[in-house]
Order: sequence, then structure tokens, then C-alpha cells
Amino acid sequence: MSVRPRVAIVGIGYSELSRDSGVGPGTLIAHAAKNAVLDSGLAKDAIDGVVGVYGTDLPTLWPGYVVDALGLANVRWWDTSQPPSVIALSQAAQAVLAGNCDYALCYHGKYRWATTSVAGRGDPYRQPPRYEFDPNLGHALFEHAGSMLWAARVMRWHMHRYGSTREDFARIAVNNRTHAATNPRAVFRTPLDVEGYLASPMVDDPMCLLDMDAPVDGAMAVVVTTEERARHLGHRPVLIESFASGLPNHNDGLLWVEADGEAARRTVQHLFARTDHTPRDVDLSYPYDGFSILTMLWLEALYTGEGGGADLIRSSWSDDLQQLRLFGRVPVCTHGGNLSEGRATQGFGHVLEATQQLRGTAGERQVPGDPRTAVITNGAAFSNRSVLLTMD
Amino acid sequence: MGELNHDTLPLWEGWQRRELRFAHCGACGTWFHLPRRICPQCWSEEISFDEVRGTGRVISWSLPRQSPDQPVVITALVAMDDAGDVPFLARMVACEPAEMRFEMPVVVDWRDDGGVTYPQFRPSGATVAAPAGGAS
Repeated sequence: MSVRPRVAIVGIGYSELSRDSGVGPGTLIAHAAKNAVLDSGLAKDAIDGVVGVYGTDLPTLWPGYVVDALGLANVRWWDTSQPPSVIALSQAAQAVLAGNCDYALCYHGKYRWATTSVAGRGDPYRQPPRYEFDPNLGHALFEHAGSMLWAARVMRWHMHRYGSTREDFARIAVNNRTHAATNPRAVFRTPLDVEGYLASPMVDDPMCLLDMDAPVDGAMAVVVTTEERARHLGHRPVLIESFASGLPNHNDGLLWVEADGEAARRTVQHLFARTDHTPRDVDLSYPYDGFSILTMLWLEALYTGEGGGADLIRSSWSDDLQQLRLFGRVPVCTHGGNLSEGRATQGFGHVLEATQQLRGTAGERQVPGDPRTAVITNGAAFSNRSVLLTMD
Repeated sequence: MGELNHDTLPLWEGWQRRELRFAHCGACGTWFHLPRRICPQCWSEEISFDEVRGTGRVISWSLPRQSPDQPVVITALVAMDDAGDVPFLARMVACEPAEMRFEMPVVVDWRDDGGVTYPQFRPSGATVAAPAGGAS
């Protein structure tokens, strides 16, 4: 067992996730943040750290707004972050470990800005800030090309190089949708089978509508503190056993040729280098699913090495359950993932779900057998953060 | 179209003259893309933006959805032969989606759209009968 100081998640909260919330992004985030603090049992004045996803990809709210919105009077550490959400979570964990704060609130919210939603385009109150997701300042050299969807080209490359098929990607989508049926948070809960996936419209061939998370309104939040402090709070603490990230050697997303998952493998190697656990002994698996190809690459990084994802999916598929059971045992994205909760979450849903499962409070969708460990691999090669959660 | 800046301008200006250029290190010879004025290999800041022949091979591609009255668009990622295989993203023309192949040889072509000239690719040996893929 680890002797390193660890951080625990002690509170979780979320807003309603919906296609049209009828409120602004500030309300959504403040609501989620409030609920996370309430869930922790802490007084609001105990919160002395705040970090939120505010960076690229259309900013929503910076920590100062949340301080104002919730009247947090004792904040002595804050930071901003960018998607995926586990980056914010790990920043909070680092701040707590370093002693910059004792109880860190971290949050992420998304909003259907005019530029991310056809419906939003006609709504004068959904105009985005004058800030463009252009992390490499190179969009002037790209947008004429027709498709900004780099993941579609990575998906085609993977299918060509490793023999993965649309049926393999279908099983990722179906697995997640099947789980979503018992997740009241999920926006997309209509039953789906492989045939339904194959019939869904292409958005950027070979990527179809069901290979990608859809824009929604919503926010999620968690509170973290040290393991020692966590033991004095109401919930059994869910411990952050380790976290890690890795970048590939080329990070121009639109030009991403690193479809072999090098960065994902680098991340997973570091994630497990500092723990006694191995990927295969972890009870619950939450590979990122903003695009189904990312799930494929994370499954390979975690379990098979380069190119083995399709075989793993085929050998893990249960026709009866319409779900994956890795090695006959490990369920995948038990909440339905981003594909079912929508793009409000960008990986925070994985964190909330894993926390609920490890606490044993996932209700109807509680995985039997007292799961003790969960691995969350968040994001894509050029923007990722992964975390291993455990219960003692 | 994103905002041009001082780093992207040399390539974009080249396009307006129908010249395909890439960043090239004067010290160690490394080609790279996107353009900036420091070499990722040797950190030299002697960078020029040199014209290439514009031949390459297809790495991957996708077919973004268009409205029914618009021509098919093929968005291709191409490794540039005489620029150190740097990847470049542009449309494919004079080619049907079913004719696309991994590693197929392509050559740069040019498309005028709204007073701006953009690079695109066609299969090596193919001629372009009419502008394709470009909504005006």
C-alpha cells in the first residue's frame, strides 16, 4: 500500500445536463460547485482553493467568478485549467499536497455557445467571447480544408493500420448507451444496438454521429483534500492513488499523425509506475470517449499495447448485456461516458461516476462485488490527464 | 478562417502567389509545420520559409458532411515529399472518395475562393477539369 501522501475526493456535485438549460453558464457552474461543497459536508468558509476549466475551447468562468458566485471568503490558492477535467482535478490535488490550500474546489462547465451549436447560433445570448480555440495559432492555415475533425482521420488511419472496424467502434458506443439507461444524469438514454449505430448519419466519414459527444449545457464539480482530513468527513474517502499525463512529440492536433497512441501509453506507464496496482487488476475502467477512437487508443494503452484494441473489444463483448466486460470482469464507462452525458462533462462525468461507484452509492447501476479501484484516462494525446482512484 | 499572425503570414502570402512553402531550418535542415521562427530540432532561429514542389502521399482523410447541394469535400492529411514528410492538411480534388488510397501520391493544386488562393491536392497525373469542393 502506498505510503506517499494522498489526496481524496470528498464531495461531488453537478447541475442538470440538458440541451437547453434556460440559464447561463454561471448558474450552471455555481450550482455544481455548491452541490460539491454541500456533499462534502464542509462549511463554505473551509474552501480555500478553487480551480476551474477556463482555458482554450471557449472559456466559461474563471475562479474569481465562482468565488463571487458562492461567496467564498477564504480562498488562498486558485488556478485555471483546460479540458479534460482531470487536469483541473490533478492541479487541485497538487495544490493540496503542496500545502497551498487545504480544501480545493475544482469545476468544469460547458455551454452551447453560438459557435458550438446550430440552435445556439440564432440565440443572441449564446454568442461566445471573442476568443478562438486556436492553441497553435495556425487556424488560418487550416479552415479552408473543410474538416477540423482530426479524430476522423485518426480513426480511418487506425482502421487501416490495425484492422479495426465500424462494428468495433459501434460496441464502444453501444456499451456506453446501455450503461446510460440507468444513469439519470445522462442526456442520451435511448437504447442503441450495433445496427442502430451503423445506421446513424456520417458526420465526417468514417466518423458518424454516435462516435462523438454532443454539445449540452451542464457543469460538474468535486472537492478534494488530504487523505487525513478526508477521514474526518462524512463519506468514505475516494483516494487519488496517482495521476499522470504525457504529451506526444507532435501536438498540432489538426495534423495529428500520432495515431499509434504513443502519448496515451506514456501516460499510462507513468500512472502505474507509482503504485502497486496494474491496469488489469483495476476494477472499473473509464477510458475517455469524447470520440470513440479515443476510447480505442486508451484501451490499447491500458491493456493491450498498440493495435490490440479491436481484439480486446471483440473478446470482451457480451451480446446478452450489450456491454463490454474486459477480461470477462471489468465494466467500462458505467455511467455511459461523454457519449451519453454529453459534452458538458469532458471527462468529469467519469470522475463523478467512479467516485459514486467506489463509495457504493451508484444506486441502480452500482457494480456488484464492492469495486475498490477505478482508472480514468482523460482526453486525447495532446491534452490528457489520467487518474487512478482507490478505496482502502 | 482563423486570424493570420506574423508566424503564419509567410506561408499564406506564398499561397497568394501559388507557392507552397514550409518552415525550414537554415542550420540543421529540419523542415517543420506549423510555421514559427525556431527550429524544434536544434533551436536555431535561422528559419526560412522555402518553396517545395508540392508532391506528397496521403496519410489519412475524412469526408465532412456537406449540405445536399454541395459537392463532396475530401479533407486529406498529406506527408510532403520534399519537406521532410511534414504533415499538411488540405482538400483533395479531381478524385472520388472511393478512389482514395493510403500512401497515394498527390500534387499540390490551387483554388481561388473569395479573392483568396488556397492550396489543395489532386492525384499525381490527374488534371483538374473544374474547381471542386469550393463553395464561393
